[in-house]
Amino acid sequence: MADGERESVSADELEQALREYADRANASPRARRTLAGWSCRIHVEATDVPGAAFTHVVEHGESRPVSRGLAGVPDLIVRGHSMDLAEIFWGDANPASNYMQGAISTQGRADDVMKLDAMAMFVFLGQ
Amino acid sequence: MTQFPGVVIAESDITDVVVVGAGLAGLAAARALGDAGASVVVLEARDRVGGRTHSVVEDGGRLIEYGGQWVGPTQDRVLALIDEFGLSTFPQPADGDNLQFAGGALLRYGGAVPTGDPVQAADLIDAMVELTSMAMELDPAAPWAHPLADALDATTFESWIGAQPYCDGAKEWLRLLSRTLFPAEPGEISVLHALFYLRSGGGPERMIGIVNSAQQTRISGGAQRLAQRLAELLGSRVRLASPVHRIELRNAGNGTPAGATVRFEGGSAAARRVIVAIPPALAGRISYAPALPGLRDQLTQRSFMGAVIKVHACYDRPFWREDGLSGHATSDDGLVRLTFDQTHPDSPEGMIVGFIDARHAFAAAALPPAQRRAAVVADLTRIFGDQASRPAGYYERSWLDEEWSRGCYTGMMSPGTWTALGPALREPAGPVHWAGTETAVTWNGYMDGAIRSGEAAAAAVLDELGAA
Repeated sequence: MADGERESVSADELEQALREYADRANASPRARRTLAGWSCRIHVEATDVPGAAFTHVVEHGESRPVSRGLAGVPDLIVRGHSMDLAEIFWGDANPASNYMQGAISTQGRADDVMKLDAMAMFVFLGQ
Repeated sequence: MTQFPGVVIAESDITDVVVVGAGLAGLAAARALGDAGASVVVLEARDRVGGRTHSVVEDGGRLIEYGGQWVGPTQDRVLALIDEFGLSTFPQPADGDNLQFAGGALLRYGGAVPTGDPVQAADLIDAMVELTSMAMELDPAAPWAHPLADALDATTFESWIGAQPYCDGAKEWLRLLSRTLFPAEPGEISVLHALFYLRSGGGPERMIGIVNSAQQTRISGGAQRLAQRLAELLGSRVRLASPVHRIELRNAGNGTPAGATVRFEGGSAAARRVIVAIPPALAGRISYAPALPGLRDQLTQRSFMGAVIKVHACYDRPFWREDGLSGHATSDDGLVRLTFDQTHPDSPEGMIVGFIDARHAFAAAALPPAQRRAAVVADLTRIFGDQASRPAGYYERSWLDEEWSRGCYTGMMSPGTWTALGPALREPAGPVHWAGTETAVTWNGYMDGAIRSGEAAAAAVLDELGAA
């Protein structure tokens, strides 16, 4: 599927990327330490791929298995083009870059947004 | 009433409200009062409106923003005013890599947090998470109510930084954050004040970046246009070159406020209420009769203005973009520790704006102008290379030397003040109410906070006048 000129990532690929991202976050000692007390239900939606919606639950800093679809009441909602989301999940793109700050929208409390960004940054930095 | 200097406003003509200060707070207050049907006079010390916004077209047609200039998401009041006035905006340039000059080396990175050194970056992320979490626990309307307020207000931000397990580079970056954001030395403010300010702006992530952050957007023609448009609406009710020296308060026999006489250079004005829309540090320099409550005066003694010198260097083109740079840089050396691309989209010239903050502003202010310019150009050359060494134009403004601001971007509380005297910040003194961005709960220190504070003071005054 395509959104304008941009290549999209399929829902299956995006789900796989998000699962691997959650695994990398769990394997990151820095993320586990910094986010130790953090619990959050995150809805992730790709704006260009129908059905590419996922629920990512973090309990006390540990990511639970990612599920397909939007389940429960979210603390955070993350939306973006499937390729931008995938590049963050793959650890290929700096989530704090000016481009990503504009491309990905995040709704929620500032401290939850900051912790989600920290998780993505630790994965990106390989810390 | 008249806008002409030298003409005394007859005390028999009692105005509903006299507003002291024609910055965004005072003008927003006056506009709200006027819209509600109240009679209002605005007394401004300067020969212009806008306070800490000042947009000047200098030689060669260069628009120089000497004061506040950015707006960003969640700054709803200032954004609404921009929309109402039909002002056009443009995005702050953000394409390309940022630069961090640290430890004698230049590192490229993207985004708000330097990532050139992964260890430092991880520490900075930890710090951002910690500061955001702590800030979100605080009520910005009443920082003194935080369960740990006493301890947080007795600890300087420098002490907090020093006690963290971060690498030296991360600690130095946090000091830079303090100088450029608050803007004060981390030893001058308490942790409580730092958290209050961060909470007021929605957290550091919302405040220090460009995209989706407080530096996202600029106003075409300059930020001062907001104040100018407000002043146009108020017309002759704004009186320039009229510094207020004394406010004489009158109370009714039953202890309720009855009004005040405001004495300014060139005349006096009687009013039922007064809104003082200038920073607490300057409000304390006005004479009051009878004297203000001791708690309020002690607060003004313990509030101080940030120290900022804003510099602009112009070039024949934005040459840094050719190297894939954004023009945004931080530095741990020299006077200029923070820069942004200040290029106007309609101009072929390139412009870099730099900030000299806190103790570096004190050092820079002590230099002769030519020496200061040379030091600034040397700083920019260190960051952006040899092409930065030959600016075609240079403009600076020391806000320390501005008689009617005495600093920028905002006023701050010294350690211990929030917990001991915080409620006196907004508590009216009889008929005198307080406004100014320093009193804002949301976006304190920003243009948005100024507008919010003026509108809040106007609402409170209208409530009182309606009940009187």
